[in-house]
Amino acid sequence: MIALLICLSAFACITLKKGNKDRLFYLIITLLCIASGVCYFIIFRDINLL
Amino acid sequence: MRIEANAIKIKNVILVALCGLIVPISRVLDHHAASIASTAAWLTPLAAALLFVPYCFILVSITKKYPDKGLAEINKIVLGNIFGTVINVLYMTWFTLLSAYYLCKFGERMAATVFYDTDATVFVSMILILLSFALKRGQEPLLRACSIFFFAVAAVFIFSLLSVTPNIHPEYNLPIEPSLTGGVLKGGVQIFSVLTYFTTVSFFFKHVKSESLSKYLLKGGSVALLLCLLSIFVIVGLFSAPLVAEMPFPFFSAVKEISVFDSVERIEAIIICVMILSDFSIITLFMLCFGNAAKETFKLKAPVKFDLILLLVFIISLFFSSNSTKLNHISAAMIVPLNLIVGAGLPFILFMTALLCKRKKA
Repeated sequence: MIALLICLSAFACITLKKGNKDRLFYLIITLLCIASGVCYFIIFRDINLL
Repeated sequence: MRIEANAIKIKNVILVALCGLIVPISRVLDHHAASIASTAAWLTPLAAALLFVPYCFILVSITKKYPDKGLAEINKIVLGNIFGTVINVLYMTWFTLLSAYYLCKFGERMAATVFYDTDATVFVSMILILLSFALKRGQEPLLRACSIFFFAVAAVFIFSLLSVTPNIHPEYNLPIEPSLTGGVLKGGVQIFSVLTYFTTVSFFFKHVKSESLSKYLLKGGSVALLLCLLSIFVIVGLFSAPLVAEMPFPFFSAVKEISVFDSVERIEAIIICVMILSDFSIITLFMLCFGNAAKETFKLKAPVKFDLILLLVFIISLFFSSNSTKLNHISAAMIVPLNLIVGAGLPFILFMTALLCKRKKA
């Protein structure tokens, strides 16, 4: 799961560099994936990321 | 006569919605109706019909005024760019949450009924991979395929219920007392909340041929309510209301009692496996609606790629517990109000706004 989150972050960075309307939409979805993934780990897996 | 390759018919979309509706009808509604309305549970679909008629009127009025336009586009026209976008994002959130919820429900049911000791995530991942491939083919073939699935799923569903009818105790569905009226109305609202999934039909209006929505919507609603009535009547008649209210899978328990000509038994695994088509249809429908809404809201040029959206759905599904009791609690506490607000409330607001704007202009 952590590896997946890293991959998604990398994808978000690449998308941000290219930039167009379609890519922006996918960037939002990617960021939502990352945010919900991190929330899942913090809340349900009780992992202290800090 | 040559059939247009890219034509979507309203009938197809309604059939897909009906196929998907068999999921809550067979798994959630009987449990809810029995716990709320007790012996009068079988009357709850009739109460839902009272709410469904005005809902149909609103949906038909909206789409009639803006032919060849999807609901996402109509939202932007009537409510303005900013409010329209906000409402469309709400719809997209609704589709994502529902997909995640039904995904979770599917995984949990497979793990708890047929494939014991298997992690639900395995089934969830498998259906997501399947969906990812299927959604790449475009919405037209997928909708057509899912509309055919409806006949298979409905046949199996009705066969399962009719097979256990000899064991029904009619007295379990009686007495109907005036004190149960409140429960029946409350149960009716819960059933109506599921019927609001027909709102999804209006997201395809940009792609469908202009046909009469009212006819198909009323027919679809009637079929859904009849299936619901049959399901609740048979299952409560089989186990009694207090027992159904406590059971995690009343339909599955009823199916276990099926015996074909007193020779073939234990066919529940086959029935449950056919019902997977219904799970596939409901998640496909929500995903396609998400795609249509996203395309209209963010003015996307290329066809929507669903891989990332499915990943988001998967992560959200992890938040929902895989415990059936907790999932039923989530359904009552979150999914039902959300359906009522987004599925019926937002079209009502849109209808009223359009009406006020029309009067102002006149």
